[in-house]
Amino acid sequence: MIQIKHLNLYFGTKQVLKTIDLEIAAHKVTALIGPSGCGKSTLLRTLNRMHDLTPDVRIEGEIEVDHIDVLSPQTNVHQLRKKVGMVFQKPNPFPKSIYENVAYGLKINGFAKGKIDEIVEDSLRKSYLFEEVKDKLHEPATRLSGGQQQRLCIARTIAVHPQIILMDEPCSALDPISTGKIEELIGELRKDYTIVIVTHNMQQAIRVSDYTVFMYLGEVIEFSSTEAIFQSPTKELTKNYVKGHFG
Amino acid sequence: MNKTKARVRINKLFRFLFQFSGLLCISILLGIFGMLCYNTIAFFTKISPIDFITATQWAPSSGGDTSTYGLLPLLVSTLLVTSGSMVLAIPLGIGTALFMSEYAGAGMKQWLKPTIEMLAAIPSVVIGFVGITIVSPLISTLFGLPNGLNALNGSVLLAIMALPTIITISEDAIHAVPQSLKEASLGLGATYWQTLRGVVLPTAAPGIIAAVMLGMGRAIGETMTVLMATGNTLAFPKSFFDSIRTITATIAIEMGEVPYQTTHYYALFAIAFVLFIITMLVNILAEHIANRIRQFQ
Amino acid sequence: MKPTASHQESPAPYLWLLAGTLLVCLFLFNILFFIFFRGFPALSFDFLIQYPTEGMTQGGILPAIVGTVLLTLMTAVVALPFGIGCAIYLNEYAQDTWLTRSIRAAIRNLAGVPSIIFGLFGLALFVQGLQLGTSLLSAGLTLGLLSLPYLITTTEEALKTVPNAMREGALALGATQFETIRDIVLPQAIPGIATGTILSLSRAAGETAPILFTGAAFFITDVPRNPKEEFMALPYHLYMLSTQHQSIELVRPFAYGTAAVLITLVFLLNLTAIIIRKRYRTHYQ
Repeated sequence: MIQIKHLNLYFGTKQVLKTIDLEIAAHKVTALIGPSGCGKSTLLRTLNRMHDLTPDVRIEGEIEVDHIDVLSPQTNVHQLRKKVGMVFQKPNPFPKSIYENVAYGLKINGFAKGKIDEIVEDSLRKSYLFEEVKDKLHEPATRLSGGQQQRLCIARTIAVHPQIILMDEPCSALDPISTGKIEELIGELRKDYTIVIVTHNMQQAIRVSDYTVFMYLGEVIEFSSTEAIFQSPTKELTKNYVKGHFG
Repeated sequence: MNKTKARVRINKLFRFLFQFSGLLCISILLGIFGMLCYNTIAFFTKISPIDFITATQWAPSSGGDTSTYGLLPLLVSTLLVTSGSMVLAIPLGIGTALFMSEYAGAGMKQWLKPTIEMLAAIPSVVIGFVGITIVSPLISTLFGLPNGLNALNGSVLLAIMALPTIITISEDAIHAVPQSLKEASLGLGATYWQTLRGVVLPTAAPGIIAAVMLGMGRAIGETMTVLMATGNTLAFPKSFFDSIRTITATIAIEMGEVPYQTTHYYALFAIAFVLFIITMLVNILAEHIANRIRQFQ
Repeated sequence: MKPTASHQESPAPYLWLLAGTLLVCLFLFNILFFIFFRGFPALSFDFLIQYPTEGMTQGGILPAIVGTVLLTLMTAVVALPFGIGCAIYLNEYAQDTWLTRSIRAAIRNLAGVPSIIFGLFGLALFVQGLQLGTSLLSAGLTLGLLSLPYLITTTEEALKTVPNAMREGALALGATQFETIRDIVLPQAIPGIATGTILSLSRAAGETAPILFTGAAFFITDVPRNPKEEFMALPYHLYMLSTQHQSIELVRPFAYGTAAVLITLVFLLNLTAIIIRKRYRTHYQ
């Protein structure tokens, strides 16, 4: 689904990602783990070109998503991002109503009103939020709890029918109960979407992911099934990290 | 996917429009500079720059031959009234800033800030009017003069106009002095006042100087107050009790009456050019000083 | 630092500074008191809604009020699109290149250009160059240019308060940068932009020097009907009444009245800005 070949990324003169080669499987959950500063969020944000607006970024190599050359300047970045959605570390609902939040991505793509209503409800259902908000769809999204806000952001993302969802530590700002709900939701979403999730919580990686990538200082150290990474890591660095010796 | 293409095109169009607005700002500044240069050069084809700088009289006359266009009396008037205003505004402004930042409690600050903002909001023409109606009688009674429309009056008014700028920016600078520096000084046994004088003020000095420069820039370029309150006599000023005529007031008085593209018309642009250069230098210097503190922080 | 302890320790400097601060406040209260106290007899409803008659010694200042309002609106029409556009460019698009650095430098320098020089520029460019004559249009364009630097600075401040997470959220959904600005950034920045706009217009409304040669007239029997006409304005009216009228002492009450109306107008605009700012702060915190 996603193929990353010889990816190097520099912020100014500092190399943040070092010759990364990865192949991420469709309809699976792949977790990116590693100590902070290892480049896992940077890698994730390369996949939907969120670095476009950052000054002084240089990227080399190739990324292919569903036969689209992601890094090519000819690629339409807006269509790419429709295909590759993103959920952020902190819930970032727009200061609009719950309905407007989910409808926004559809509106800019010119969907008809009736169709939008339908997709909004469907997306809210898929993100386990509909029952909680069905009577207050037109209230400000900022009144929702943190966990609800994050599920709203997921609903907003799936409304535009992406194939891939990138999640950048989606639970780090949430309490354990909300975290549980999101993890449950991720388990449900994997049926329809390919998910790449950055997490600093190894238990979470074990709970939600099929594959795990362990990164250290901008390099991929080990990439394998989640079970293998946590039960029988082959590299010494991985072993130390998953056993909690550093990070 | 034509829809997306249209969206991308609109995106590009607006990016261009926004950038255009940015470029407009540069072209306005260049336009002002160009306009002043053009007319000043036109002036220098008729009057030599040396006469302009050295003549001690500003005496344009409609006859033409007997006119002299001497910058000096106007420039000296401008500098006189500005320096007078700074003598008044600098201690008062820095003192107020120090009081607001270091002594005033939260409740008092809540009143002081809007007061300063309101003072800044009063239109200059109203300040000029106050110069005529309040300050002038006061000066003539205090000093036994026939009228109080003179350089001193202008200085008092310009001080009032420069105060909000000086106070606000100095207060920011004083407020930015790290608490740890103050504690270090107090810990050595210095009194609070010794700490303010010996540590806080010197540390905030670059910011305070920038504040003073900006306030001064405002005073030099101010028109209405000096036009209304300084008497506008065309003579070389000798003291603060003389009536004066600044560069700005001269432009304001004479531009309305001169015929288009005469020597006199160009002369007014020439003195405006001098004013432009002075204010520009003052502002650039202020910014340079302000930048240097930023590097230290 | 506890203020009580600090000024008991060295009371003399404290008292000096306090006296200085009170003196500054006294300036303001003195100015306001004199103008309203002496302007009060002249102020009446008729003063606001009547045309001046008998060489300004009777009647009111309606044309000057209407002229200032129209001039301020004209200024807004000129300054708003370019001011907001430029602020958007600087805050949303511009990276640190020589071009954006020069734009920023130009704005800072424009802010320091004396207002009378803007008046000259307006005279040379709009009145004479573009043949717009002395008119509401020329004066509005001149004041529009004058207002740009302040408007741009305050708008940029307002745009800066919109968290980056909002922009990323919209971009990640496939929105173009323009759509992000239009739908997400601007709606959130509007209270801040409105505050800045009103403050810069209140400054423009009180300006006199830039309209001296670009369109203000001392006495016109009517309010302007189209932008090519000359107009009366409160600040200019005050200037003329207090310095140029044949019988200055006779019209002095009118001058006080005009000053009181002008100050009230400017303070009302400032108050509106403060209210918007306060509301918006409590709304988002």
